[in-house]
Amino acid sequence: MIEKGKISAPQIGKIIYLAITPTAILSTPAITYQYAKQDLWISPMWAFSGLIAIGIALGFQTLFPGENLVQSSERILGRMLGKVFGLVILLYYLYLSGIIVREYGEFVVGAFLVQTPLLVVSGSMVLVCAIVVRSGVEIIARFADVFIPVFALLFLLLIIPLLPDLHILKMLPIMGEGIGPSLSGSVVLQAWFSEFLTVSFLIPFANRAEKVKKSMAITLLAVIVTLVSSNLVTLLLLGDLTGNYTYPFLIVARYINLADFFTHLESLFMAIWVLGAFVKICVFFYVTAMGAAQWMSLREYKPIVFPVGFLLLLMSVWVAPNLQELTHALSTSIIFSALTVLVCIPAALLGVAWIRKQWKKKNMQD
Amino acid sequence: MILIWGKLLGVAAVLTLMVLHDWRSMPSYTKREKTAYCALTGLGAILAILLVIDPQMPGPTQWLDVIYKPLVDLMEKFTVRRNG
Repeated sequence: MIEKGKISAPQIGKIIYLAITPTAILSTPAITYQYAKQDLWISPMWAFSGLIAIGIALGFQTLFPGENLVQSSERILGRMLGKVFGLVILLYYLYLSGIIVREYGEFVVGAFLVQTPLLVVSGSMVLVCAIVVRSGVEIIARFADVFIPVFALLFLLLIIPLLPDLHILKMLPIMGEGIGPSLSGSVVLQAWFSEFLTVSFLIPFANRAEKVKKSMAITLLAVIVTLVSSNLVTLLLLGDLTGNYTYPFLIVARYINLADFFTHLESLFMAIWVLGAFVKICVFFYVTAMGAAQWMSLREYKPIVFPVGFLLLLMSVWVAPNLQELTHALSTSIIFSALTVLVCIPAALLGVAWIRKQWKKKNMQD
Repeated sequence: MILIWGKLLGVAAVLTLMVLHDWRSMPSYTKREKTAYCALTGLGAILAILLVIDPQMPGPTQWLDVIYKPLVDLMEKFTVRRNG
């Protein structure tokens, strides 16, 4: 076994929550708004790909207990094709990690550390994450344990002071054009929801795998509730302006002014964002490093963490020449590629595995 | 030109620091692990040099753009219609 750590089912839920929400709060409202307009807050409820991805991960778990997606794909497709599929998944995870690191860096540099070079911000983050990833999955799980309450508290601290300033009329008309706009707005979110497939790489470390199902259901619900409330607050405060900002929720946080005393609360949002992005990068980095080690059939993944981290940093530079291109990619090709690699292909694999199993059963009966 | 050499020096410095950090634990690695380490580091070095020389080099995002062009076009048509 390449990883000796064991984590509990609730910890897996917390890890996945932190691996999805932070960047979703940050980047999606502006993109979703372009399609959904005032139905912005309904869009996160159409979390189809999240449900499907969780279903796929759990389905693989029942067919091949204790193995992750890449390992079971080798069983289904045979060694050669399985390796090809594994490489695709791993490269895609490396690419996604690069995107996340870049998003983190662009946000920190764009909104707060204006004078700092991007590479310094993202490089220090990758270094910290590399150290955590080397320490193993248990450490990531404990970080998630510690950060979830902080994350929730800071999130509420941002939303509650805003409640008196919200204009409920801005959400009217609700579904004025039917469910179409909110559905097309949710297309962007499907890229984030499909990241639920990551759970497939964590289930093998669960001390009680049968409990993962329940904790994933809670996680999916929690992610939807968080996104609905953050989108709702953004919409009710900014209204038609939502689509004009790159980071609407940051503008919302800047707006808070309690008795001229509590101002500049965007630093709270910054704290949320750094904590969340930290766990998110750790998870994706971990999956990439561990998957790469398995793919090359190494005894341990720890030796290759730093070289993979270096590749990750390069990838974060390589993914897009500037922020505009990155946002454009996030709202176009990344959605489709995430749906293909993280939902469609694994679903096809699961289908093949299931048919094979039924076939075997039938032959046994004959 | 000097900028490029400076950046290359930076890449070399980072890689040297990384290898120095891992040097102590090298003896405990198996041969396979050492090969994997060298391969990944080499890949990183080549990519870093290419990115320093040509920062605009088409990356994975552009490749994905090419693959998903029909779908993206469809979606953009929809956006334009929606936003007038």
